[in-house]
Amino acid sequence: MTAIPTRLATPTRLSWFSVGVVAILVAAALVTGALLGPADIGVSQILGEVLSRIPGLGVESELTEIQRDILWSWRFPRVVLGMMVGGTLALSGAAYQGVFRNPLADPYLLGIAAGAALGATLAIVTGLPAALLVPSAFVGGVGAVVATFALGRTMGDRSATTLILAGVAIASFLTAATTFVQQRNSESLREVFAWILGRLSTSGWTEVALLAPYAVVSTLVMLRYRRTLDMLAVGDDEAASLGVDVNRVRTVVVLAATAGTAAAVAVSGLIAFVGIIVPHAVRLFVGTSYRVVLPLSLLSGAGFLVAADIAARGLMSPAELPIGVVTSFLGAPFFVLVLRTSRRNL
Amino acid sequence: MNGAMDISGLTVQRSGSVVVQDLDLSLGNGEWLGLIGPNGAGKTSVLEAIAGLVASTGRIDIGDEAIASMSSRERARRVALVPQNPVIPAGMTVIDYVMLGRTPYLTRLGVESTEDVVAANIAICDLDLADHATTPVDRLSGGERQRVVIARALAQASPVLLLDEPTSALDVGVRMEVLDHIDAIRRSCGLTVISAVHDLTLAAQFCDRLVMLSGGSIVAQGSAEGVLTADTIRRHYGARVRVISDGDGLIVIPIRTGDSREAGGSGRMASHR
Repeated sequence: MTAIPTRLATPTRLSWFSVGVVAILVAAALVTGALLGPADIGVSQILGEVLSRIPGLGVESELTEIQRDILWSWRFPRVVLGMMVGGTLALSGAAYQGVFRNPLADPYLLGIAAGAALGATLAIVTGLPAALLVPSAFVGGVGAVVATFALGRTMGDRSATTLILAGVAIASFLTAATTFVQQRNSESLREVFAWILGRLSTSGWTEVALLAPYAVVSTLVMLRYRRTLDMLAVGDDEAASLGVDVNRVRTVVVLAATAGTAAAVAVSGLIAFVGIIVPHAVRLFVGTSYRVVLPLSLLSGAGFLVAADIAARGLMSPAELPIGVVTSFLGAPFFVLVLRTSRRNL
Repeated sequence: MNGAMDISGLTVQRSGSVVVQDLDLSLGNGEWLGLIGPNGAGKTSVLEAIAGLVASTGRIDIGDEAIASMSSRERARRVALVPQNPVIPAGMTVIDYVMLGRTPYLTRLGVESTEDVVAANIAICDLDLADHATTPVDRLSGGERQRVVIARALAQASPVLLLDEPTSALDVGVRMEVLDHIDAIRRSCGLTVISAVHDLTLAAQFCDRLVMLSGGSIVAQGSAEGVLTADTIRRHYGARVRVISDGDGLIVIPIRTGDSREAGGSGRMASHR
């Protein structure tokens, strides 16, 4: 009785329209971020400076040497790093939510960021080379996610509430351990605190280069599994009956998301809630399929953190707020909203 | 693809207890086999062992191939499962949900072909869901949802379909509608169907053959007339029934005994108190 469909329904796909809209918003945030600062540099001057660096175009830069230095040594690395950190945190948050089928999964709530912070703190106080900062944060992050899930399992159920409670407990313990390490190494305290409060303000191309390989690899791995995350949404048994190797997928995606998170934490300090705010906002507009949610979270997260950094610089100008304060002000009420709307699933 | 199946010596353990013991079964291509038996008899465990969801010993062949030697993708191309309580992700549309059935055919990068989209659309049309293709599944009625889950299994294009109590949560009208759909598709596509069924009357009306399990072993098998006798049902279900045979098939009617009225339950329940 095979019926012939007269019109094919197409599965959810990433539309150029949604990518275009988000890309315009990201570009607007990038330009605004590059414009912001005491030195008066206009849009056309920035554009001229960028085009002058492209061989063969013959465009002359109108900037002075000092303006050029401000742009390339301060403003550009700051917006580029903000973009990379925001995109990585938002993508990792969406991936954790998919792999654990839990709308509240987030690198911070699961204790992963606290684990990465402990790893990075240990690397700083023990004087490890800068290249080992991210691997140390990664080890701390993996240890935290394993501990959170082991603790969640021992509590007897796998609900979102149990998982979050386990994450809160692990994060508290790891934060206390981080504080203890800092107290025991007061000579490194200033360096550690500068890092914890967020480093976008003091970042340069070194941090961008440190984050880039981890961000690129983890992003590619997570995007590779975006369709598989839709399959995991029907539960482990059903996904396995569809031919998905559930344990392998879960391990690979968690490792990739943790590597991305750890690298972001290692270069930028603790910036909370990006992994919750951005994916849920994306879902409001484009639905729940991870095929769409993951790439758009990456793009939107990039724009969101640059915008949050602009707010951090502008709200109490000339003083700057730590960027983590801005994301927490936005994220805490957003978290309550998500908790209320997803209560029936908990 | 041939859906004939041979199961020999199948044993399943859960938490250290044997729930299916040394089971032998053979099914012809296109046959509908009903697994019946009281709660805890091992019906779901047999289905999950065939689908590869629980560890088991023994041998299961589909066509001439042992499923133990297949990868999870290869097995998913041969066996589709409709679970008793399917998980419906919030907000997922019918077409996206049915496309999940094409998972074993996607490229390693998870890219679907036009053939996959067409197969999913055909399954949607077969279950009369074309008007709901872009509607979120969780906005549909219970009967429509169950048809969506079956459409996903059909999109898997496997020769064997496993149904675990597929209509237990539905009212009688929707239940008959869904089972009639499955039967029509089975006949047109030559699907081999194994279903765990609680409703003995429906089992008698739709299945070619019945296998009654109790305590993980086969206690009766054959035609509905041979298996569904008042004596067999009383012995293994602990319930008194009247079995009526008329022109529309076999009908099993439970009878409330004087004892159960007084005790407020059946003998099996009473023995657990």
